[in-house]
Amino acid sequence: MKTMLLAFCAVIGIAVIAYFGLHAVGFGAAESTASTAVRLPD
Amino acid sequence: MIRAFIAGLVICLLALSARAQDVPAPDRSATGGAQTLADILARQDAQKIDDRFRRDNIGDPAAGDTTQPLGTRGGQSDPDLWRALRYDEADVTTQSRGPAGDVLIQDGGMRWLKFRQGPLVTYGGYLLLGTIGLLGLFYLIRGRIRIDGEKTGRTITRFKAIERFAHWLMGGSFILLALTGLLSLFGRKFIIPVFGHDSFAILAVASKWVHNNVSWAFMIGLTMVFFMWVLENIPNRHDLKWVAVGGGLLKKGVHPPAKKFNAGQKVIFWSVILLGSSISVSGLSLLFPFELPMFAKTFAHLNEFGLPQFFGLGELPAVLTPQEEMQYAQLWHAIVGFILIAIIIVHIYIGSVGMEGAFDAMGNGEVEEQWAREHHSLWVDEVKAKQAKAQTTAVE
Repeated sequence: MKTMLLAFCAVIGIAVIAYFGLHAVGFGAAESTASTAVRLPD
Repeated sequence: MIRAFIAGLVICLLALSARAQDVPAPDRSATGGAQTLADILARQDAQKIDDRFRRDNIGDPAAGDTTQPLGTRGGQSDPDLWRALRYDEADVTTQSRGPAGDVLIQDGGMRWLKFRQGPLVTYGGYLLLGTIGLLGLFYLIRGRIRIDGEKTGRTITRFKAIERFAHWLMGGSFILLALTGLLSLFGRKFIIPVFGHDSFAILAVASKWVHNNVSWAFMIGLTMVFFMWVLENIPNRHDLKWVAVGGGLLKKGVHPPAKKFNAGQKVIFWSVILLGSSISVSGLSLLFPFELPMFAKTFAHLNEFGLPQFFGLGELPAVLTPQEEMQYAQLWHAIVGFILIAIIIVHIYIGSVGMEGAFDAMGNGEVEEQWAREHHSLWVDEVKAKQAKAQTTAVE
């Protein structure tokens, strides 16, 4: 059961890494499909 | 019987194709070749019409703007231009550099929405409810599949920690993906009427975050599982015997021989690998919008093989707008997702309440020896032989 819980923790860990990692390298859909000229800053 | 069925199918397909060819070309002489009231009514009635008379009638954009007649736009009149925009044939330049930015009109959206809100939700829902219903019925009839023989009190290691980790990485993420996927699809129909728009908005945003980011864990788990278990899931002659007696699932005391994975588990394995890969690829296409178009190419290959034509579907569209690529990716993602969810529901049932001793294999990795003998007798023999050999070597 420990392995199962460890895997579930890994699911969360991978998800958080994916979220911040992909945004850090500019893979966000908003960043990659719109030009700066038409997107107003937040 | 099978021959009669195939013959009937072929006749039906031929009849359908003959019916499609019998539709006479409409007379458009009264409108000078432009669309008629009959065309408009047919379109409003969602009938399929040959629209080449409009699609191809987009003037001559290359013609000089002062030397040609037809008004201020030279060789391309305003209606020509609008038709070109309508069919994505116009040379459009926009400030937005996104891949879909220069497609000003595409009509796949309503088709996609109608299918998504209609057959997809309806039949997908029936599939899942039907699967759960059948399992409930199976449980009522067969009950829990118990270990038939006397328990030995000894256990055998069935899965190592890394195997269980990969299984749960994939399984845990799949359950989250399935739930959030279903929430996204059914939310508008079932959650908004009960909890309201505001509550669903929070739920939908959270679902999207989970669905998008947890997908990576699923893909990692899928890859690990494939490499760890592929060799043991190659079909062999024992699978035929297993299938012939229904795996012993239907009758007490029947235990066909099997190696580490029996035919039923192999079906689950290959379903997960093939459908899971397909879901992953279409998911990546959705995750990076317009970056990974694949349906136009796939349709072109299918047309070359003649598969859609064989089923009387005619040629599939080999040219798609970026938006249509996304629409097809979403539908395919959901359809394959529904099928895999149904299969996994069966897997979860048999691995938990459906069979005594099965959960231990993925729980702590140790299974009761009698359980192993009943469901994987050839594998137990292999393990015992290895243990005996190891003991002999140690003694020497």
